[in-house]
Amino acid sequence: MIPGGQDRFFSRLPEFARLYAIPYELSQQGVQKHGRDGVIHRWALERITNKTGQKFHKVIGILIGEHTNLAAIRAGQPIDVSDGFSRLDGLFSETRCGAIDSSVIFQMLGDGISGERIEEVLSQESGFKALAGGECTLNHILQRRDSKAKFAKEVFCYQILKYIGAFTASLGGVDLILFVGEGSLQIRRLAFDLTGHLRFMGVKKKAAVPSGEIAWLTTRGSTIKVCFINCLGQPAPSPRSGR
Amino acid sequence: MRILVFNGGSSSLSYKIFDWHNALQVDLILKGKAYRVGVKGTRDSYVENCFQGRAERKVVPIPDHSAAAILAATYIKQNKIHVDAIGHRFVHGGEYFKRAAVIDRDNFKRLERCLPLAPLHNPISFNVIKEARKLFPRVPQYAVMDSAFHSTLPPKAYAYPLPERIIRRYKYRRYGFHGISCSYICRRVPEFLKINPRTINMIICHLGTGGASVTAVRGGCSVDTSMGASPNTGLIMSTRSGDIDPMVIFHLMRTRGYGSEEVEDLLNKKSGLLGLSGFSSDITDIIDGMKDKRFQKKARLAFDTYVHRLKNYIGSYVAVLGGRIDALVFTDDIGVHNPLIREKVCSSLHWAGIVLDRRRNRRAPMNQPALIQSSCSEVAIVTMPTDEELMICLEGGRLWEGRT
Repeated sequence: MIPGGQDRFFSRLPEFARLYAIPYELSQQGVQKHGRDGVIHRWALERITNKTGQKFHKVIGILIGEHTNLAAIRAGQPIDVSDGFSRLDGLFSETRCGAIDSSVIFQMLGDGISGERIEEVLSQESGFKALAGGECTLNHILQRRDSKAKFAKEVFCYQILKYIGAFTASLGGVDLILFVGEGSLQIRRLAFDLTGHLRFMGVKKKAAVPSGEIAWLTTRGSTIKVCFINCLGQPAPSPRSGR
Repeated sequence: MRILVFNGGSSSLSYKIFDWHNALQVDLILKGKAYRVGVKGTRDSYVENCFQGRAERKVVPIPDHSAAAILAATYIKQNKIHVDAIGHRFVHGGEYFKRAAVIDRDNFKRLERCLPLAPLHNPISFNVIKEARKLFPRVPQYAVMDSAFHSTLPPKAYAYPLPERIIRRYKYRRYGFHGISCSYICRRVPEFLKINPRTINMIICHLGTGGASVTAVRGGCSVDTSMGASPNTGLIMSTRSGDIDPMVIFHLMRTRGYGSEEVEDLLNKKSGLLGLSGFSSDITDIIDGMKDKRFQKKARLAFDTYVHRLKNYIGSYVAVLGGRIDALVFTDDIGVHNPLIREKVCSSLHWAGIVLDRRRNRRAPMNQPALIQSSCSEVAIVTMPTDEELMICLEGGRLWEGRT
């Protein structure tokens, strides 16, 4: 997997998408959305552009894997991002809670549980682990057939679907949805299933899950394109591309 | 049957008396509201009453909601208006209340147990209930829950991925609020559009001066909503932050030495539009501020961030409803009174078949429903004032209908 993390790509997010609605002084001191994995989102978009020779104006990038995140990109510039101030925000993952209602934190603090302990619960004991228990990496969840794992997958897909809708609104429409992930069949199928939920937007899904390093999940006639890029074993993008 | 309805806001108390004949025939008898309740400031608190065509306004100190209830009761008794039942809006009924309930001794205790669930809202209603029991000892009372409408949410929409022991201990799930307003909209919009209320799909934006939320409705039932376990999730509100990275709380405690209460206070009372703009929690001030050189930059930022968040939620519910939407509805004060917000929000929703007509939008009346979509829009766009008190009255009528 390409090394991800914090980089400067998302520092170009417009202020209205980057700020939390907290006192402005705090935002200026860095309490705002920083986003993550900008290098990978950029790398994937460049690959598609080079491969097809086509410029896609409005793009939703979905990095799917041990930590899933989404980005809305217009004309190469970031417009929105699901990751926030930290990795706790946005989509939940193997053990992280994702965006939740914070009231529970104050209730727990009120019961005398320490901040450190609560932070540990939210980052190490939540997410798939809390919903499904047992072996709970995304790949495990997608392979398991028990009802808890199925429910965890359902919640996960539902949240991705909501982000796709939200980011389509941020962009005012979408031309390309770009999944990036390690190409296990389960993850590919997950992307394929999600594509099926977007028919109302003009997305026409293929009949069967395609394979290949760059796999188009939509038919030629589809007005919105959906693509899956396998990023396993790819060379790391140059550090410069985060700029 | 005469029903008195109390609806407490954070700094106001509305009350209305209805003559309820049946679900289709309800007449408004009296309407009143106490303003600036418990607000410390330079401007006076006052009460307005409107009864038998007479409207009057009285400046009077109103230190808290109990005092406001006493003022209301005094006026009602002075005018010798008989009351058969009293209904109350109660924000967070938790797990105990999935529908309206008569407040007998057991339910009174259950309501008391709900207080910590919405520490800013529930105590207000609870104090009014306590006071009303003293003022009208023989009159039966009932409570209608703002969270009840959302009891139809599917598990995938209400589940939070936290350990089960915490979910159980804190009864932690998405409850959702503004349910009374949403049920009013779910009743009136189908009538207005002549669509079957059991099949209608809608996105309802309840944009109030205090709180605000968006709800996705499928087949007349709530399937997702932006507020969560508490009323401080989702949209940006006047002083509430709405969605925030939970890590921000730990960060503030660690780096600034804030205690739990300080952070909670910051996110509930100093954030939202007030935090972003730095000068007002009122969207009208902020829209005016966009034309004023001194405030321009911050006002613009607060407005854009507010609109962006709202747009995101509408977009996500378009996806939830699979693009099958009959109406996008704007209600409550900000929703009905601010054409600019509606225009900006709708400007990036063409892909969902939502196209606004700018002229109709600007001309929409504030006191009655209006259609503001363009002729090429696939989705009806409706502005409609809400009426929570009427809805509370109707719930009361339903509670007693089978009994007498």
